[in-house]
This record gives sequence, C-alpha cells and structure tokens, in this order.
Amino acid sequence: MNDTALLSVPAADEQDVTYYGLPSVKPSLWGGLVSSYMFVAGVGGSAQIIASAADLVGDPALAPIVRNGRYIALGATVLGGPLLIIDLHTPQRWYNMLRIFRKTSPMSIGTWVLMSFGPLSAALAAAQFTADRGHSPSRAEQRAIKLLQIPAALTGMAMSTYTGALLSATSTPLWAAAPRRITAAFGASAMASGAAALTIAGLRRSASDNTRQALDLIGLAASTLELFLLLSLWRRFREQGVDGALSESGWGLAYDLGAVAIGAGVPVLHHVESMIKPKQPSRPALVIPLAVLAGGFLLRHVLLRAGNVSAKRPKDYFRHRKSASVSSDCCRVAIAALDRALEDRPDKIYHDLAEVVRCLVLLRTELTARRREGEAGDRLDRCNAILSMVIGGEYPLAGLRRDRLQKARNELATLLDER
Amino acid sequence: MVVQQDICNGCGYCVPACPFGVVDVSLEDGKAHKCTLCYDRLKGGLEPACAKSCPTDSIQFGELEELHARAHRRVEALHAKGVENAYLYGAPGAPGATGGLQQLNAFFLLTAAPEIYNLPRAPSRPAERVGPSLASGLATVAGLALASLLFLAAGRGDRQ
Repeated sequence: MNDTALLSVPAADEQDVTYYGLPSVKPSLWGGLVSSYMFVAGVGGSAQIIASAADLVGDPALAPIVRNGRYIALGATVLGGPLLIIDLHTPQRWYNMLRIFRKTSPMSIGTWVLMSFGPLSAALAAAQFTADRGHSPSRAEQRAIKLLQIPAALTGMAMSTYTGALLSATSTPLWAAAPRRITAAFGASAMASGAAALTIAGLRRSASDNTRQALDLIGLAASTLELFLLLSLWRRFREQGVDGALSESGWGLAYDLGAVAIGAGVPVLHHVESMIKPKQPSRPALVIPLAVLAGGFLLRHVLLRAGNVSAKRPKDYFRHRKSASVSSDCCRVAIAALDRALEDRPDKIYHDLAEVVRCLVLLRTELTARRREGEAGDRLDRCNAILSMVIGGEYPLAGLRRDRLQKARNELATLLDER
Repeated sequence: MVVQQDICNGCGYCVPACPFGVVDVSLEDGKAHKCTLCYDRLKGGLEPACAKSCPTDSIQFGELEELHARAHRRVEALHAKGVENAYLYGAPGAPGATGGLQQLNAFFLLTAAPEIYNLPRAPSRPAERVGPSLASGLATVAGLALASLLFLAAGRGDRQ
C-alpha cells in the first residue's frame, strides 16, 4: 500500500517548481559571532593538538611549542565561551545547555566538547604558568601533566572539527550537501591555523630554526590538504546544485580569493618555495601565518553567510532534497528484506522478495528518468540485471538460487554506495 | 514536538535544522516557537482550534494510526474515482518520510508534486549527517596530528 503511494508521486512537470518562490526552510540566525567562535575553536583546538605532539616527542627544544600551544588553547576557550553565550537569544539561560547530552545534536556535543576542552586547557596552562614562574613540578605532577595532555589533544580534535558537523546537521542546502567535506576542510584549516598561531607566538621568543621548520612542515601538510579539500568542496556544491548561493552572490569571490587563494594557496606556494630555495635562517615573514589565519576565518564566515543565503533559495533546497531520492531510501529497505530472505526457508521468502522488486522498480524509474536527462554510466543496466535476478528468486521455476540472491544483494549495495 | 518555553535559551539551532522551515526564534522574547497543537485546549480535552474550525474538515486531529488508516482509505477512494495522482506525504513509507524520518506527525494527502506545496520531495533528518560528518573531520585531524608528531620527532636528532 505504501509502496504504491511511493510510485505514484507526481513528478514536478517543469524543472525547479517552487511555491511562488517562497523559501521552504529558514536560514540560521547566526552571523559573525558564531563564525568567529568556529575560527577560535579551530585555532585553540589544533594548537593544543600540536602542543601535545611536541610534548609527546619530549625534546626540550620543542618546549616553546608546548608552552605557546597551552596558552593559545586557554585563550581560545576564554574567548570562545563568551562568544557563544552572547549569541544566544536568552543568554542568561546559557547553563540550560548543560542539562542534557544529546548525541544527535552537534550543538549539544559541542557544548560538552568545550566543557571538557576548556578545563583541561586551563589546567595545562596553569601548570605551564607555575613552571614558567620557576616552580619546578614534582615527578608525580610531571606525570599528571603529561597524562592530561592526551585528553586535551583528543578534545582539541573535536574542537577543530565539530563546528563543521554543526553546520552540516541542518537542513540548509549548502551545508547539508557536503557533510563529510566541510568537516574535513575545517579540520585541515584548523591545523594550518594552529601551526600559524604557534609560528607567530614563537617569533617573540625567538624559537630555534628547527622548531620553526617543524611548524612550517605541519603548516605545509595542513594547507596542502586544505587546498585540495576546498576545491573538492566547490565541486561537491556544483554536483549537488547548491553552488548558486556562492557563485551568484559575492561570497563565491570571497571563498575563492580569501579562503582558497590567500588562506591556502599562497601559504603552500611559500612553503614549497622556501623548501626549494632554503634561505639563510632569518626572521620568517609574519605575513604568511597571518594569511593562513585570515583564510581560516574567512572560510568559516563565508560558508556560514552563504549558507544563510542558500536557505532562502527554495530551488536549491528542492534540488538537493531530490537527489537524495525516495528510491535509495526504499532500496535500503530492500537490502534488509534481501537479508531476511537469505535467512529464510524458500517458501517463506515470497513477501520479502516482492517488496524488493517494488523498490527496485522505483529505483529503475528514477534511473530511467536520469538517463533521459542525459546521465551517462551503466547504473540503469545494472539495476535491470539485479531486478532480473530477484524476479528469478521470487518465482523460482527451476529451484531457488541463493547465490544469485546473495549476488543481487551485494550488487545493490554497491549501486547504492555510488550515489 | 513542543518547545519548552521555560528551558529554551534561544540558541536557534532548531531554526536551520527543521527540514520544513517550521520553527523560528522570536526576537521579542528570545525563545524558539512552533505550533503547540493548542496544548492548552488538548489539556482540556478539546482538539486543536484549526481542526475544530476547519469548515471542510480538511484538517483532522487524532491518533496517528487511526489517521493513517483513514488517509489510506481516502486515497483509495480517490483513485477509484479517477483522481489517480492522489498520494500521502509523510505517512510511513511515503515521500516525506525519508532520510531517517520514519513518519511525520503532521502528514498530508496531496495531488501534485510536493514542491508545489513547498514541501521537499525527500527530506532528511539532519541528525543522519552527524556521524559521517564528525568521522570525516576527526579522521582528517587525526591524520594531520600523526604527521605533526612525525615532523616534530624528525628534527630531534638535528637539535641534539
């Protein structure tokens, strides 16, 4: 009964039908405060990660990185918490965030990440401060500090990335279209920014060249990955038909120029150049780490603001929510039904297989429509092949071939993974 | 779904999260709001005002299972009368109940493409994206953290 309802949904006759052009979802109310927080959280989280790595290596020459990383992480917490609270529309109730933990909400996950990262960073910064003041810690204290550095790094990883999940776990087309790539890009950008902040912090205390070189290498790795991920993110937006919010507004230019070129492109070129032509050790240019930091902020700010634009574009939302199709949802049901059928006695599997056939017909209808729209590839042919195999199982004239059903199940799973 | 007005601190995350653009934050009182299905009337044993006042009984209120059965009968009756494009949106297994949304607590009988009614063809539950998103971000940072460890350890010999 339900499946016939699925099959008879009228297609939108014209491309891009909307309800008088009115938005279908609402944009977030977030602006500069939230993008600033996302940036600060990334810098602090990643500086703590790098500090932990340096602490783990245990080389005294790396002590400035450990020290600065701990202080930067504390600074990010002290700055970040208030930014979030000010952004609430009833800030005096901020502590209601601590009533529950909800794993389905990055807002709640992030609250607890910050509530763990903050105190850990405060404790490590306090230990660092007393050590800087000439108080040498006892052996037990030293061990405790080394131990604390590990959860600090782990929560730092969450600080660097969860803000991407915060964007993606919404219905805003631009953000929902690339859940994996946004967090990956945020993570790479955070590590580049953390290294940049540590480089700047190291300038004052004239860090050794080797320390600086290690930070340069971390920056190069992170910026290179970021550059690749930012370009891949653009491609994903185009594939999902949600790129208009960037390309048809000024935010696209800000993304290309600010986040991609200045934030990642220039630093990569600089690092590569300085590796090919190693200059005599001189004071490193302040401009490169500053470019990385500016790019890191712009990436978050541009994606946030362009996301708000995209929520007001109903065609983008409908296009995006069409590609994640009814039929693929139905086919996940079909795989479960096939699994049941494979377990059951031959005379019991008819109903499960009938359900599978209905789902596959739905998928075939959709793939046929896509072929008519000009989509290349062999997915329609493979869908037909799977359908034949399952129908053979539904009406087993010459005995049931379980191996064929198993093959159909595996093929269907592969087909869905490609979507 | 009901917004607890005495708890809500107006973080506004529900606003972009809603796949149907329902919830909003009031800038007057700084809290999120949505239809309460006339919570006060329900407590008094009455149905919501919209269902009560609807002159054609197009809006119906009741137990979901009962409403589903009634809606399926209505679709079948319409099909029998030749309205072949009638279908349910948001009932279990139907469009609108996709992407981890098993069913919508407010569902519709429609006769044209969902987009015409400002409804997405295949909405999804935003929480479906939390796992993949976090996993890919954490994997990226973990990889870079490992690389950092190697870079920092590599210079060790030179420095000593």
